[in-house]
Amino acid sequence: MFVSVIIPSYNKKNRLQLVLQTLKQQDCGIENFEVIVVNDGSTDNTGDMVMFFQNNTSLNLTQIHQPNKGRAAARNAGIKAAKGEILLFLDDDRFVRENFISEHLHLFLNRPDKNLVVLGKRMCLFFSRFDEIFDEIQQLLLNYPEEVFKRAREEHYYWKKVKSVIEMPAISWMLFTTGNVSMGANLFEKVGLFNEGFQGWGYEDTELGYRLWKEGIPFVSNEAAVNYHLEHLRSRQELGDDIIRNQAFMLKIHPEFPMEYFKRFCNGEINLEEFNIIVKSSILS
Amino acid sequence: MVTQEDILQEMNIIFKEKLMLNLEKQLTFETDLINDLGLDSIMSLELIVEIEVKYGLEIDENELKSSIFSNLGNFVNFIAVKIQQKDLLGYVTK
Repeated sequence: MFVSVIIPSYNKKNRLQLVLQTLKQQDCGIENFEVIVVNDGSTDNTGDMVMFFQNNTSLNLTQIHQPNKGRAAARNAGIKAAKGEILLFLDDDRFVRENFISEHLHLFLNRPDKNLVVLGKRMCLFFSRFDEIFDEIQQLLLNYPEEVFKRAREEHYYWKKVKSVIEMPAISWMLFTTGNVSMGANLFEKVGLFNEGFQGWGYEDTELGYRLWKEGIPFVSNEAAVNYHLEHLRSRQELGDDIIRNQAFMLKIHPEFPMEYFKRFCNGEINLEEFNIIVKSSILS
Repeated sequence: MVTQEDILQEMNIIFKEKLMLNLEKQLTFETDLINDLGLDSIMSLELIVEIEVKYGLEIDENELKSSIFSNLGNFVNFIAVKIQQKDLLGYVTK
């Protein structure tokens, strides 16, 4: 099985470099996967860094350049260029363990139809002076990776609290986030690509997850497929304006029942259990 | 036995070497982490992680109330209690 790892990137040169460095060291064999970086109009020499990896390493690495169009359009460009039967979505600030791809892959072995979504485990790392200590982290990752990994914490909200959602099939679609997820490439023919109407941060992945769920595609989690997010401060725009606009867009394209309650859950008006019960009872009735 | 002075000393090292703050003077129990040192969400968790690694602790984020960060005395006290709890648990399970 051949895997395409798709990474949209915008101005995160150093972080992406660590991601590529860890992809270079995968235990699944370098011939079994390709990496597609969609350079979404970066202005920080990301392009040169990626080119260096193309010219000097054995990574099967493609770089697609496009003017800045946002995450959904960047991922769609990656999907169109991908050759793999399995597509693995990764972010440009999440480096991975050496068994990352093989852990995603092995859950597809018993699924000839590839009708599956695999959610990996997301950890967080906190380096407030990341760019200043980049060389040090890079060397540690090469020589003593456990020194870096042991500083990681579970993603507080997402993995610790929401992981119980995998046991709640009625709302499991909300777990679909592109930081660490793989799926059969054929699924895009069934449900379509990412919706490019989402602009800025948030919900473009959840919305695709919702369409996959409506199609009846099973979601499974694999806690052994671990990646590490290099945490960064989020702007007021990402946390405020983008969320409000993208929530409204989500409701516009899916005006059906669960979305109003999903919005209320995201805004903290109802809790996870209440959200699950409301959606579950509506499906049963 | 780890004293509050030891923890304060360790905080001075972490702030200088890990968070790379240019400290004009040594930190004291009265130092305000947010207003004096400009601690943000990333820095506060980086600090917690370094303390966890140093003292072998596991600190749940639900325990991190903002009052802990209002001055270093509160923070050091919080850590000292966590270390005591850990030592006590180690003693009991022995």
